Amino acid sequence: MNDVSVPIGMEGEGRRRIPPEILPAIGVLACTALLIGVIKLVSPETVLLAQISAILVSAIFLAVAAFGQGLTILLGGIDLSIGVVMGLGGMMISGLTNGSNDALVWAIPATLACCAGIGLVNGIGIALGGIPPFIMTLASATSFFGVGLGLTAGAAQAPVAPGLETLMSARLGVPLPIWLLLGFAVIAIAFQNGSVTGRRLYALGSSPGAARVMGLPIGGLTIAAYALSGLCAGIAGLLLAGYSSAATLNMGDPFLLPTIAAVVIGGARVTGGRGIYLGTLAGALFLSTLETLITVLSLSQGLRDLIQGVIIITALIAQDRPGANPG
Amino acid sequence: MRFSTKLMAALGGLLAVSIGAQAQDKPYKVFLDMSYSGNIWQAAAANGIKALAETPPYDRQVTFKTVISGTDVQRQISDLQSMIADGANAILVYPLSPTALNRVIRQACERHITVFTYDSTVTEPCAYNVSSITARYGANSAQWMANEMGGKGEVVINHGVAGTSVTKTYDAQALAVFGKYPGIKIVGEFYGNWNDATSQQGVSRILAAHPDLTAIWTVDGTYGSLEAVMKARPDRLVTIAGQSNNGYRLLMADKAMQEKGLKGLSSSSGPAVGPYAFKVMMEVLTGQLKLAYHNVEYPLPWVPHQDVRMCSGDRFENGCNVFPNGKVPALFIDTSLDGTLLPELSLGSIQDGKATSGARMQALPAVKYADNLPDINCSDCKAPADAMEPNLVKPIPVPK
Repeated sequence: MNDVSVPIGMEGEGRRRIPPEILPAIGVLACTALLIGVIKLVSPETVLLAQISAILVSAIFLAVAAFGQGLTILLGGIDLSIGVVMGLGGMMISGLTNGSNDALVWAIPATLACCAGIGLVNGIGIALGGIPPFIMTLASATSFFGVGLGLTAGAAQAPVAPGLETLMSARLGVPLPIWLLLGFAVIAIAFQNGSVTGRRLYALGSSPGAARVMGLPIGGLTIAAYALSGLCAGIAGLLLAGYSSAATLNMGDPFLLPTIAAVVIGGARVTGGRGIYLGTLAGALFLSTLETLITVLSLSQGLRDLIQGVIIITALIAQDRPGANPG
Repeated sequence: MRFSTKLMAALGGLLAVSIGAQAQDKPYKVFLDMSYSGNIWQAAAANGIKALAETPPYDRQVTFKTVISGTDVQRQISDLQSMIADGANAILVYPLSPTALNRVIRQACERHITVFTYDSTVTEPCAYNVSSITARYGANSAQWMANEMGGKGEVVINHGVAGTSVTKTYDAQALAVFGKYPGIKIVGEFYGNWNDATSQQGVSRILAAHPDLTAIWTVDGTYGSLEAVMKARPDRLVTIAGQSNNGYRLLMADKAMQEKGLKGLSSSSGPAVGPYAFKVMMEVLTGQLKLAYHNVEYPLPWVPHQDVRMCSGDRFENGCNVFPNGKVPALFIDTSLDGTLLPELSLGSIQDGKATSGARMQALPAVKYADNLPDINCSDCKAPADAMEPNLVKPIPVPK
């Protein structure tokens, strides 16, 4: 994973053993540890292990959904449909299983296929239709939300399968979701930095022109990135439905902006071509910890929105400009 | 004897209906303007209203249309204007702002359109508000909790959606009540946005920092808040007040949970206020009811843990108020139904918006008029002196 063959990334810098992208991730993780220390300081009765476990469990939805967001941002795009797809995924799984574990066998693939399908539509619109990503994903989110609203009137009338609830509440030494998060992170990093498709996504993101010259399947890669983003949002929706024992159509909405924030805080370049999942994961953990600190401090909603906004802007400014890709 | 009274009443009803039908040959054009229908509460309220609009005799008296205005006030204003232009006779609206709709509502009143709001209110005096915002949920629920806690303990406040008049009103009442007890310490506050997943995350965060918290005050997101405690601290539960999700009511009534320290209150604003407002509006529209004042109170749902009663059928009959596990999803809001004021509704009405088969509209009991609350349901008016005080629960003395 240390030999990301980005065509234009080679110039200037020497070949270090640690890719420079890991540095922001480590920095963000250090800040996260610092925040946990502040929580302990503010509220001395805090049980640190319980606190860290709570932070990790509540970070999983964001961490999973932000992987997809990271892939689209890697291509210089964005996926604004993530919140809606999360809600739809949760609604579908409770509607299809209707509280029965037996149905999970086919309901999970069916739900994930539909969510990936929404991403596929986004990708096709962007890659083949030439529609700007933010318009395409916003429009498809609005349309699919409308379909979901028409079919369900907003709330799942069926209970979530108990198996999914167990998945989110059981413990294996630590809460099971922490193992899920770990497993997901390994797969995500292996895909993004270890697979051929992953490296091609970097190449396409850094320089679409060069990618074309190299003969990379640009359309296919773009579609794949958005389909994966839909898939990840679907997984996050399933997990969220299991966590909250019920699904509502708008339950994914609070996660959209944080997915973008997690990617940006993790050191990804918003114009594409740079960013690793470890950074995004660190960003998600940081945001989850920050949210915890804000909650423990009982700050007002206005202040909390302000802080989140300021952090995104700060992260954008902090990105080193020299390598930035103008548009 | 009883049968003949019923028969007489039915005949009387038929007569009244036929007179009403003569007076109005064409069906009334009635619009429902919903806010946001992406959540359980709004969907349940809207389905209850739709079901009533299909219940005889309304099914013949009314042509009913629903418009979803989303969360944008400007859009709601233009939707209301379209309804006026379309020749509405009555509009039932979930208002997105207490003041921004006043001008368009006044236009509607000038065209003799009957305008009702449900749950949220407007200050325009020609509109009728039907709501439980004046029923002091904040003061009553907080007082109930303070009593159950013996006037001491660590409380978490799960606010609703920031900036709404409901949140402001209820929060001020609850904080005033808790503030009277020096032994009650507020250890954390967050905005759960009336959302169970968000609330569960919020409580699990605070719980790690304050492992000894003893109580959670919520307006909604109650079930999620409780789930967070059940996961992190399954043997030591909390005193909690909030919404009326079926799963929550079942937990409240569960003896095993009570032994672990759970003391629950199920209250807060119920979706049944929507169909109730529709029924009041229809009685005003058809001339059966004359309202002396424009602010009507929908009684505050109030089910402490000892009052939970299991239902055997699809309706809230004989005082029952919860469905068995598995019959409805855990988040089904039990206050979507109201056995006393809305006997026409059944589970199917709330889930599919369909009339209960065989049901006919029954006359409403006398309405309860609401207190004035400045900038909420009136302007240039005064709230009663005790508006922040509980009126359903008697406070315990402050422990020494």
